[in-house]
Amino acid sequence: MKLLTHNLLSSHVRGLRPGGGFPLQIQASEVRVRPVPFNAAFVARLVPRLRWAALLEAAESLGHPSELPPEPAADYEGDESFLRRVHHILLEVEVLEGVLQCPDSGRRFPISRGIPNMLLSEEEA
Amino acid sequence: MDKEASQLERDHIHSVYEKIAPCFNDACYKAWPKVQQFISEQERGSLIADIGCGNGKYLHISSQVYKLGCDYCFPTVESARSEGHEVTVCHSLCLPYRSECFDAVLSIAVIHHFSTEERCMRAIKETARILRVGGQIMIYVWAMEQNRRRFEKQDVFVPWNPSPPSCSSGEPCPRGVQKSILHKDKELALNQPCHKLDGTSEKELAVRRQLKIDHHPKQGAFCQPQNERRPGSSLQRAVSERTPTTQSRQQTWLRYHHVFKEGELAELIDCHIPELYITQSYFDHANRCMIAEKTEMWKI
Repeated sequence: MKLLTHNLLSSHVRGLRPGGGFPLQIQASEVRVRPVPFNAAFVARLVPRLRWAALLEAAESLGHPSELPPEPAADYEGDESFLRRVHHILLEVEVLEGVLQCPDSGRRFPISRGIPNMLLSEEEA
Repeated sequence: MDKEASQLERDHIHSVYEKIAPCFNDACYKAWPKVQQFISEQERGSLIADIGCGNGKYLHISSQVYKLGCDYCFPTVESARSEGHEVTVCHSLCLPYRSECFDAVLSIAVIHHFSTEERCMRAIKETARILRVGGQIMIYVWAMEQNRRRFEKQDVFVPWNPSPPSCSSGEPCPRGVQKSILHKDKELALNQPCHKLDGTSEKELAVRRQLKIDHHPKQGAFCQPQNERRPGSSLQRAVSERTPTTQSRQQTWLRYHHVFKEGELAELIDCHIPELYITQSYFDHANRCMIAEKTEMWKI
């Protein structure tokens, strides 16, 4: 599970307050860093789609402090150094084993071989 | 009603796909060109969700977009993961994504597995939820009216043979063989008479669609679903009527499909999903196909 994927994931356990299922807290037992070809335009297009605080928190929780600013600068599109740091944390850091925990309900979703299992029972959904 | 429908889907879709996953090699099945085109036309940096991705047939298309696949079937998701794709396991009625975060969504050969109209509608609404305003969804479902033939009924069990005759166990099947198997499966479903269910028990009426079963007397063993012995349900009674033959050398798995009449999918969206506006509707290789755009809803 890449951190870009994590930034899109949310718990939908029944009864949560709006937005209460995001961001999922990561408890990783195995993390992998693997190079991915860099594409500045691709990353720049992703930046405004991200929940920035959640990304920083996720990176921190994996022991990969991202050296990213609290918010993207206004001219981030032209800042290759910034885009490379975003690229690294979004696409090159993967959680292979661990757990995602819903912040409101505490429900835990396992990650196995890089695959989050987000299935809920019929009672939970 | 919803619990019965859900159980039906578990018995006749999910459990079947789990069993056939090792041999359901999507690489043997050609990706629909118009689906490939839809993905390729998305802007660079787009986020695309493939709901019911199987083992990732569409996830390798275009390196300019970020694709996230999901499926209920863990073995097929693992297969997609082994190809390096980003995937999750989930149910398409409860997608584990935040709202309005995707630029495009694929729902290819998924909606036709839902056993009630209400669940079809919920599945489409859920895909619309994760789509941003202005984003597009592409939906493919099996059509009732085919070019050369038509299904006699809309609710059918379609056989799938996990052991094509020219493949040895565990080896990937040549493309041509699998394509012919797929074609053969559809031929079986199309040619066979449907057995009307007897009785109209309250439980049967509670499931909105009567299920008719395509039964090929020479096909051989029909793999029995789990938990089939539930008295009182004509649905389960019909399922249990299938009997194995001792002469069978191959097992056949039946997957439930609701095949869509012309206009049915469009009506479902127009009447029940106002947040989607249909921009294209066409027929493609025995599929009813639709592209719709997410519109902004205003509360008055």
